[in-house]
Amino acid sequence: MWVLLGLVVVLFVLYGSLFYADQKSQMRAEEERYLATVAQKKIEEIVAWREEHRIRGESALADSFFSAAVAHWLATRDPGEKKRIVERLASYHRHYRYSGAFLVDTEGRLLIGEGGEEKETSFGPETKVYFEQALRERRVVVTDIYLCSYHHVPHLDIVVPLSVLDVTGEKTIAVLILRQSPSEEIYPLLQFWPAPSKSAEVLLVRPEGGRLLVLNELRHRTGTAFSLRLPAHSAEGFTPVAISGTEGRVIEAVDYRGIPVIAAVRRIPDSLSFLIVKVDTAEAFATWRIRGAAIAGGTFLLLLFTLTSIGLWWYRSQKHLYQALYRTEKKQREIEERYRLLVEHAGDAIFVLQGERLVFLNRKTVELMKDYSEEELTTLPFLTFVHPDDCQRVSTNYQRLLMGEKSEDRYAFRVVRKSGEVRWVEVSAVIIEWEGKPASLVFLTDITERKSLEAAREELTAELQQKNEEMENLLYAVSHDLRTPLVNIHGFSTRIQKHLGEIEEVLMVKSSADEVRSALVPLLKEKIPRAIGFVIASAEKMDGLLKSLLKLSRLGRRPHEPEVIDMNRLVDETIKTLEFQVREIGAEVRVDFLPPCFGDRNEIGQVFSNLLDNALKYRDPARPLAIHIGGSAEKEAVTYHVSDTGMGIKKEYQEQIWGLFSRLDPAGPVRGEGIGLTIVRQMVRRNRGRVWLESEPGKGSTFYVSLPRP
Amino acid sequence: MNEKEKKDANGTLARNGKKHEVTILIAEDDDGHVELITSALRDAGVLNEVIRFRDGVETLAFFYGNKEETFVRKGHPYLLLLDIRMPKMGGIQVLERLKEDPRFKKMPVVMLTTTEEPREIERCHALGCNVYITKPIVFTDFVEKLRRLGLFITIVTVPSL
Repeated sequence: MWVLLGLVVVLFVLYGSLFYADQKSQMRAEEERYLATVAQKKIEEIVAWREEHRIRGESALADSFFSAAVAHWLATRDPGEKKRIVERLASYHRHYRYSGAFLVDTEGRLLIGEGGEEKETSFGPETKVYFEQALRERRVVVTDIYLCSYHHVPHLDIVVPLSVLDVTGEKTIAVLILRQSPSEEIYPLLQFWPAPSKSAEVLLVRPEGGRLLVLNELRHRTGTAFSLRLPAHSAEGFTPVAISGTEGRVIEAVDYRGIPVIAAVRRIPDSLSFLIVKVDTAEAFATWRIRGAAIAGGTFLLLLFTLTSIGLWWYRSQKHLYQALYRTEKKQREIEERYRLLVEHAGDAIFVLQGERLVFLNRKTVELMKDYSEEELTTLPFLTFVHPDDCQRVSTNYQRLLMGEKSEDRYAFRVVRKSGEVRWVEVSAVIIEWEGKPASLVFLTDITERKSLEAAREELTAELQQKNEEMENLLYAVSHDLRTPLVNIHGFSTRIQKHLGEIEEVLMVKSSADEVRSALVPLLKEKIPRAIGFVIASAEKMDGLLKSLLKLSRLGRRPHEPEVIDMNRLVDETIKTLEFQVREIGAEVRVDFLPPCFGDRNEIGQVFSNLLDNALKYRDPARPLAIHIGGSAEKEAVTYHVSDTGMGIKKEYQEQIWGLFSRLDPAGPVRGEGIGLTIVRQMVRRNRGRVWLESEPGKGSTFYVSLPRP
Repeated sequence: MNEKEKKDANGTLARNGKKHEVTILIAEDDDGHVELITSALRDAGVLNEVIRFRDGVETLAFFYGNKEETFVRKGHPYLLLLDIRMPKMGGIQVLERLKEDPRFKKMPVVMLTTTEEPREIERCHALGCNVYITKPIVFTDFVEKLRRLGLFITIVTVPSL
């Protein structure tokens, strides 16, 4: 900006100066031209004037009448001739404004004179010079202006040697001198200035003795003719040496008054004199002064104007710039504000991870990592907030992301709040540049609820699946196990029919009573009763099965009302109901102190009842039966066990015994429907517990039941 | 028809007076069914020896015994009627076991069951069971099937083990 201004100023100054200088030089040139012209004009006038006089002289010379008259008078001294000569001379004096007209002999003595004052009638040595020149050259000589030393009066003469032609040739007889007073014509002529000028002056000078002799009367000083001598100081510039050098040019100098002038110097042809036409520089450049001032002023004003304009423009542009800047900034801020709002109101925790720490975080982040202050969140290493089990995974993925390698996207991990509470989060991260360095922009969604919902859903699904399975098993079991007795019923009933047919046949065919008896007895005594036995047994079996199913269904439909159960009381109660069998078998039952659990009283009661019942039923006849019931509380659940010294169960059968209607030895001594353990499992499941068994044939079995803690 | 049946702790062995080559093995837990099957076979004229097993364990015990000796008579043809649903070890397991064994896999096996579940059928066929009979409630059909089986047995040459 300043450079521009400086440049403008410089340009202006330069231009102004150049223009000024140019104008000045133009003006100067004009003046010079003018002066030169004037000088030239003057020279011409002088030359013309001299020529005029010379021609007059020539005419006088050529005037043979006059010459003859003079010759005649010289010879005769005729007064009449003299009179005529006088008249002629007088006419020169009167008509041509010669101050004097003189006839002089070849010796230089005045013969006849007319006009002129006394001092003008003398012919000094200076005159003599021209006189002799004219005689010698036999022509008209127009003298320079010279000073007669006798009377110190300037003269200008026209010397005309009169001659007659005689036998010896041209012979000069007398000289006619026409004398002019310079002040008469030549001085005014010189000083005449074409245009009114205050200081214009013309000097006629002749170098003399190293100085310049002013020959004419000057304007600014009187009595200068032949008296003023311009000093030889080179400073004034008018020395003869300088003069000769400046011939033809216009110079600047200081004149005799000490005033700076411009002058045109010209040599007068056929003369030793110079013409100096000068004008005070002040005058010459008077107009210049105004003009120059005007130029300077104008330039200055223009410069001022330009500077002002630039200044204004710059100011305006600055203003616009600032306005634009302000607007951009404002817009920028608005955009930033928008983004800030987005980020701050986002439902996810958004933060930037750089190096080990968070360098930026939003409100949600603080909310997620509850009780950690913002400062803590930005100063502690980020792994501090990650669950120790997940630190490795999180760290690895972060590294991979920064390296540009493939990393897990949208995986879940746990964060730990200051209170120790664990929250599940799902993460999504991208690599960004933050303040020039690589960083990770991270989005965390709190999925704790979702996880628990998922867990709940999974549980429900599992439960559903389980129920489905149970249902399917039930249906399968039912279709098989109910069909079986039905096959028997039908089959044996059909056999009975057949047997009846056989009886009929026997009665019809066999005639002998013995034959009839022998044929009928096996049928009536053995086969038919046998068949009927199967039918009845099968019907009873079916009934039993259906009763079991009813029982199962009833149990399934009962409302589930969990509570804290005093297990000691419950087990004691259960044992009491089986007291009879216990005593009958002679079994030993030992019960430890049992910790409480959380579940439905009836259901748990059923579980233990069934387990005890089994233990009693499946005893080993070879050994006494001892039953031990105990339980211990663990971190998440309470585990009880019912151990017996019964017959035990082979490993390969430990799976199937839980199935509906499953009996390992249906034909064996133990009676049962095969639903005891099925019920146990179902009830345990209902109470969110687990049941499993350990057993060894010949040693005994232990059934474990784990139930939720209160 | 008269049959003498001897029972011992390990199973049921039946010997017949009339000598028919093939010994019929019946693995079936329900006594009633066994009775019905056997009667039906007899009525159909199948008088072969019948050996009955109560469950899969007993069945395999016949073939593998105590690991030292098998009860199987070398060079004797057998036919196995195998009920699918038995306690301790089911029919399919037995089938699997027998078909794995190069000694016994040639033996014809007839699966008996109360259901017609396709998956079950498929499994049996995949294991190499030849025949699959459903025990119908309508007994006459069952008898008819058994009779045909009986004919089958009499007609066809059962491979010797």
